[in-house]
Amino acid sequence: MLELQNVHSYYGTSHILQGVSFSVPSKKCVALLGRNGAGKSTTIHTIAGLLKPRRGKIQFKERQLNNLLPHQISCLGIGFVPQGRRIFPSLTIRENLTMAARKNLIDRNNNWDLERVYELFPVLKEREKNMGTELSGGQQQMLAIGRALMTNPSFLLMDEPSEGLAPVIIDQVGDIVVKLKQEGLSILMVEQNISLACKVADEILIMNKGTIVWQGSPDELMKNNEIQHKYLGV
Amino acid sequence: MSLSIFSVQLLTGLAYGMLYFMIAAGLTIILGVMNIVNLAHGTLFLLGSYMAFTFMNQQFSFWIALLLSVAVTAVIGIIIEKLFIRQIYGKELEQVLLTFGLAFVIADTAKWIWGTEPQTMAVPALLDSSISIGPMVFPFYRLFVVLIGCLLALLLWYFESKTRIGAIIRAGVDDRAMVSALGINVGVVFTGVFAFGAGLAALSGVLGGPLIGMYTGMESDILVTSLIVVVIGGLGSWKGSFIGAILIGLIETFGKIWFPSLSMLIVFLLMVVVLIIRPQGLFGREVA
Ligand SMILES: Nc1ncnc2c1ncn2[C@@H]1O[C@H](COP(=O)(O)OP(=O)(O)OP(=O)(O)O)[C@@H](O)[C@H]1O
Ligand SMILES: [Mg+2]
Repeated sequence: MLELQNVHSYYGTSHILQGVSFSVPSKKCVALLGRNGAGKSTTIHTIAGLLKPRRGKIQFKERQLNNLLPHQISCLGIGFVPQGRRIFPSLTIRENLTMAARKNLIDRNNNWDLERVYELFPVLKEREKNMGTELSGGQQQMLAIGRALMTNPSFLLMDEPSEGLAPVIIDQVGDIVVKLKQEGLSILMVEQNISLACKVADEILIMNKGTIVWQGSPDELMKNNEIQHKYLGV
Repeated sequence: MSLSIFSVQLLTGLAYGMLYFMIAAGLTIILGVMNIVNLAHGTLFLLGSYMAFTFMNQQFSFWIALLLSVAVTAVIGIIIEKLFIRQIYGKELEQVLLTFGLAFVIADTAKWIWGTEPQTMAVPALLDSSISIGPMVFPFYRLFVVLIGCLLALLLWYFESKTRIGAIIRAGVDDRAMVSALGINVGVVFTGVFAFGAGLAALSGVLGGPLIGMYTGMESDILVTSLIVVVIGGLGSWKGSFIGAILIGLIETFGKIWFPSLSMLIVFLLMVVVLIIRPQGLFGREVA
């Protein structure tokens, strides 16, 4: 569904992504792990169009994304749940959701709208008139996921959804990710939390210094202490 | 000062305030949303009033001339944004040079088309009378301008806080990249905002025609006044501009009567006082 081939990205003159290649199959969840500064967010930003790759190919459903703008990429069905949530502080919870609303033109029977997001996250409905940033970290994460769902994506980019959350809340986030996968979404999830990643992902990628250095199943990673130690600092 | 003069002056001050509000609202919204100080904004005011003047000479009514000028100026705004401003988002020096340069080009073009003779515009017949309450006299046209200014404030409030576009624009001020990653074409939003601001400048220019007339150099006078309004109100806040514009309209009008030679100085003084007490302006966002 999504495929990266030898992608190189730069911030100014610093060469961050140094030939990244991987693919995410349809209706699967792939987790991208790696230490701080490994280039995980840079990978997500490059896919979302927020950073232009200098070399390589990014393909989504037969479409080349390299030269598209962020809004065009979003409109192809790629939802973005950023690191740090990036909730709009000037907007109420309800507005944070409705501003992103876009009808599902491909599958009309599977349309995400305000009602359905509120069904998935009842707490957002209870507090819909509050400002988005008045929510707790976990609730803000739900809002960020709900906001991405409002764009009716077929693919979700999630950047460290468990960051800064209490263990119980992390479990909830995991349940949501599993649920979304069951709904037919494909997901690329960046994580630092190995157990969460192994619980929800079908496949694990490990990134180090801007390249993918290991790839395997969650089981393989759990058994491989050397890799965990070397690249994830466990 | 007699009550009748006072009432007329009060209304005049308010009417001028509303004209300042109309032009400053566009300036401050463009600044808040797109991060650009449009130094050509005053010339859009000038263009609006001159175009209405020409349309009226072609036997169009004041009202048709008003609509046409606002529409044409909005289209000019679209062209300016798409052709020039778009190239220099985020580059402050370029923005100053470009919008300053545009201001010169447009003002000189206006001089070339309409000459340097001051012109006047008649008050539309429909509003060319006044209402008296006791000893107080209120000219209709000024009441009308005040009404339009208040309606505009109401419209902006509704638009900003009750519509999806308003939410998108506020979100864009918070985090532009995030808005675009949610599938919204921020470029189109920017063009729309710029065109809207240009249209408001023209509205101010046309409505100001019967009060101020048209003269060479008017564009810089109005630009300076509206920049002061924007600073007093707080950068990016149209609500602040509403209050700031009314204050300046009143102070300028009464200042001209009581201290004829000092009226502009008083306006600057007001700005200084506001900035000392609230550096971010009346409604400005606190900056760390
Ligand atoms: N806007 C930027 N400008 C310049 N350099 C940047 C920028 N953003 C990130 N970098 C650099 O790029 C490298 C990769 O950063 P990236 O954000 O992709 O890491 P990450 O794997 O997401 O780490 P974390 O787990 O901390 O989020 C880092 O060295 C970082 O300093
Ligand atoms: Mg990151």
